[in-house]
Amino acid sequence: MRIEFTLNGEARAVEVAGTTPLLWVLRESLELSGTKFGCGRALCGACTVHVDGTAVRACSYPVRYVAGKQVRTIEGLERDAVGRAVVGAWIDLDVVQCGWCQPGQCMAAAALLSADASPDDATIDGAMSGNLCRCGTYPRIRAAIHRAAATLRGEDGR
Amino acid sequence: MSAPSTRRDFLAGSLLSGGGLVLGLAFGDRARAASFFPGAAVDFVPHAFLRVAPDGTITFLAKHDEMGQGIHTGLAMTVCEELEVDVDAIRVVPAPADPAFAHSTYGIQVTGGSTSTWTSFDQVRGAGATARAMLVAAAAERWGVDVAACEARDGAVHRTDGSGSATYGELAEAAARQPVPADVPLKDRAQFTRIGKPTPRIDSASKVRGTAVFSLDQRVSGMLTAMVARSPYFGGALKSVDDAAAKAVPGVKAVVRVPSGVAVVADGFWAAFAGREALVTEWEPGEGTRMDTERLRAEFVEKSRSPGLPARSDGDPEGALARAGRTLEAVYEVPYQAHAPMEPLSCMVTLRDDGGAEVVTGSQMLGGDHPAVAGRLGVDPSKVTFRNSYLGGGFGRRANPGSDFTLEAVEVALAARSLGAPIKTVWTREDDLRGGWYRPMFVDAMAAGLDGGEVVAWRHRVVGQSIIEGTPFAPLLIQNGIDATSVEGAADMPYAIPNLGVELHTVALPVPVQWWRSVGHSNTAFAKESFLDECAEALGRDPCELRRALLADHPRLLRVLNLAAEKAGWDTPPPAGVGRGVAVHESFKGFAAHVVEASIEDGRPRVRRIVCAIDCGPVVNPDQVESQLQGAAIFALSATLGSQITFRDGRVVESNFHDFQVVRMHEAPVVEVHIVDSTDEMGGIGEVGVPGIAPAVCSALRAAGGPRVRRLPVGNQLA
Amino acid sequence: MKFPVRTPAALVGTGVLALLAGLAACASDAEAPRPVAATEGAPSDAPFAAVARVLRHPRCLNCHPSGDAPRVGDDRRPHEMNVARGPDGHGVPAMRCASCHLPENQDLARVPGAPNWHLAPRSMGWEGLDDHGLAEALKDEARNGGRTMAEVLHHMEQDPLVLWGWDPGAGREAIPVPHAEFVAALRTWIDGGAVSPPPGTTSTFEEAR
Repeated sequence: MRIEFTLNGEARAVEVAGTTPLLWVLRESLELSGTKFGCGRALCGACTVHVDGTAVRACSYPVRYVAGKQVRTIEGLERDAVGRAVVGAWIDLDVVQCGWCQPGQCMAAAALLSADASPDDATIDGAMSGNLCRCGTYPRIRAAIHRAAATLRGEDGR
Repeated sequence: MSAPSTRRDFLAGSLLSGGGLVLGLAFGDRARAASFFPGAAVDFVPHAFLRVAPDGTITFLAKHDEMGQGIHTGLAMTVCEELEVDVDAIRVVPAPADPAFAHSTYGIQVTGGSTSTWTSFDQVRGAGATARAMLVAAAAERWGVDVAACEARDGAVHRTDGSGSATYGELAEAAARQPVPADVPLKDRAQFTRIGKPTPRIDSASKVRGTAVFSLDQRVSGMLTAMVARSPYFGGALKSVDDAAAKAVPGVKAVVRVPSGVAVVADGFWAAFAGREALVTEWEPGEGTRMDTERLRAEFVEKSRSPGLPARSDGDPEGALARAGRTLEAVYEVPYQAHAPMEPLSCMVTLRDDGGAEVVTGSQMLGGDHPAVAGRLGVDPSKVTFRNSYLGGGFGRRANPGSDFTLEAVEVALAARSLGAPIKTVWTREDDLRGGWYRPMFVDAMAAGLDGGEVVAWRHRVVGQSIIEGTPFAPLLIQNGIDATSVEGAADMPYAIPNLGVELHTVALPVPVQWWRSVGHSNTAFAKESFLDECAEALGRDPCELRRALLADHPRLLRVLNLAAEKAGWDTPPPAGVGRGVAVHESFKGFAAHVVEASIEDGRPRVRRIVCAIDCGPVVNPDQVESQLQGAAIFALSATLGSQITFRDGRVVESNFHDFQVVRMHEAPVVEVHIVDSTDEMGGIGEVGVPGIAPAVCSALRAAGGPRVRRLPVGNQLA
Repeated sequence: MKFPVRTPAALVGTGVLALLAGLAACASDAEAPRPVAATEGAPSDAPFAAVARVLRHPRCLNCHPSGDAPRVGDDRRPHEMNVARGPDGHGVPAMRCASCHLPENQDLARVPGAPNWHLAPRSMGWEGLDDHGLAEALKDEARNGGRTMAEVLHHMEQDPLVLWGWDPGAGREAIPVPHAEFVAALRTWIDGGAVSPPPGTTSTFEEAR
């Protein structure tokens, strides 16, 4: 079926089976491989993207549900201030190790910071526990979210 | 009698000549070296590692695979230190499979054993220094001055009198005509301006932005995707398959038989997945039906009651145990453990008409996989182009002694050759968790004799599968029936106990097993350090004090123990309800101590703080040492608290991250890392932070009022 | 005291409702497989027991927690990934129920789904309640979402999230009595005056197995 939606601010249309997970439409049909596959069961968060502003797991999200909606992926994250703050903090603090989970982590963090500009540690625990990191970068992810929040508040954050 | 050599020592002794060969090739055969850099005919390629193009682009081929440990950044810093150029001014590219990039000690191209930094440090510095010397010589020739009147700095050669300079790009062609100097002196440590300074990772931005290319991201025109249905029983075989429904799935191109099962080849991941779901397969279980975790536990424990093959015997352990005023015995258990790197495995194979192939994957052992693929195709390795990607985690899984996932992808490509397309074979998480190659399950049976307030006898009996038996590494690593990796951390344990025995029972089972971050240390340290705490408790001695007393001859272990204890405030009482545990362990030429603070809340463990002290000798990038130790702590914490692979009715129970439970953000403690400013011998980092976590956590839970946990994972044993 | 004290009124109510429930059972589809009803401490055919067994089934109870976190699976383990109800019962920032749960089950991914997937409000927490407590909770407008009994019946009869319990997707046990039978039992109980069973009874399907 033909599905039209907005991807990172641009109108896109794909001709695919509507049950195909959004993840594979992004990675294969649209060749945007920043969104990662980790579990296929919404258990690890590596495939996190935003649909109409909500963080969703693209691996188990049939593409027909995005018809007419706004989809944002890591490739479009830096289109707004929150996304730029998140990406900037992640790079500044050298959060990444292997890096496979990090685009999904950033998408989740941006969804968090869009809803709560000053999350405390418990709020971060609530928002980020759906995103696994096997390398164990959690301490730096936490620090980077605090840093991004400070940046967005206009503080130096360091 | 001394402890048997570890894996590292065996390899160092046997394969060092391989290292020398590499240097010879790298620095001698420049035409060959240039072949690694397409289009580099007139550029400056002093050896296999570096190319300086006339436009100033400097390309560095990283011989070690980047799987998160920051080695590309570390190697770049190392070469740039001598080349006199900033790290962000060079391009780092994964080296292709070629003996020129063989591990300096292991002799084949591999990344593992926490060896990348220390084994390549001088070699890569030499590469930078050689290139710099040739660039300086070219400049001196251009200006008609002595090389002493020239100085390399910031990617250019400058005349020391300030009268001129030329960039490396401008000098590239002339440098390419210079003879390769035989022996270029390396800088003293005091002269370092880059090594030792916290330096940003070169791969941060691309990984955060999603532009970094991993194996699963590799894409070529016309590529197909394959998924393999494998036996649910280890050692099982396909009995029958009905593929009619699978072939009817839109996008499925072919269903083919391969040695490991049935492959569905499709035009994308989802069609391959749906096609595989639609397969109807029947399997002959074979000996896999034996696999049942509870039965195995009982068998292992039974075995541990009788003496095994001796791996170490100091004094008279049995006599001393019999004579001791008091003896303690305890059985420790660790389960099979999956690596579960976040990026599932994949490998793309394009068969060529000449019988060769192009292979693109994410491998920790190109030096094994490349010849294995060539061997399967029956061609010379030169006919197989083998490229690596960023690795989305490895932890040992991607250095497979049987080249399992690369060879399987080749089998799929061969079986589906008529499709005439590149085929990427991909694994799901279920495939990964149920596909074997686990850290083996072990039982460690401990006994100690106590007399006069001291530990006078110690016996450590290890029961488990060998990860080495049946691999090409067996002649090196199995001596007198003892797999050195099964007893590492036990047979070389440092505590000064006069009567000390270590024994091994090697068990044969059909489960494929291999190294898992920290290898044998991942179970021996759990048993050794936990049991020492049990001895301390029985003797009424402080766990740190007892360790100090037993480590008098081990200054580096003592130093990290004291540093961790001091930073954690060991001598001050912990917060109410919180217990502290300590562990100190040497592995992979690195020395680590951990102090863990944990509590028990609603019958569940809560690890609140981990303080780690590390001595790995001189440090290249302190920020990445910190990052590795933080990550190692959390990786180890997953195996301590929740993750395991179990068997029931011959099948793996766990399938995905809901039942293979790894630490998530809300369970992640604070991890404080303290690096010893050390001028001692350089050692490993990535694995060194793993072994101490499990025992320190379990001792902390004990100190918090819980039971002594002797079986991992902790799970709900505190409830 | 060894035996629960029952007031005469409660005894009468139980008996009358048991009779009604028996009639309702006769009227239902005789061919539908019926688990053996079992309860602890009360007659097995007590009409509310048939309701309570359903409400206490993991498909219902997992998202009617008394605390702030849902449970999952037939073993009712805590929901992985630290899931919390959040201020609106739809999760917390970046971890909304809708982050993973769609209006329908995703069977290949094993992710359950139904329209408006969310947690029942805390006031509707059913964990730890016996049959008496459940009945009281159903009737109490402060704890049933401000519903009249007719609206409670309508919710149980029509709400897609309730109906999901009978179509829970791959890998999960459906509620093991027909939905119509559950609704009939509920209607019978309501029509009979919605009398709460005496305290001390906890009806589950497990006991019947």
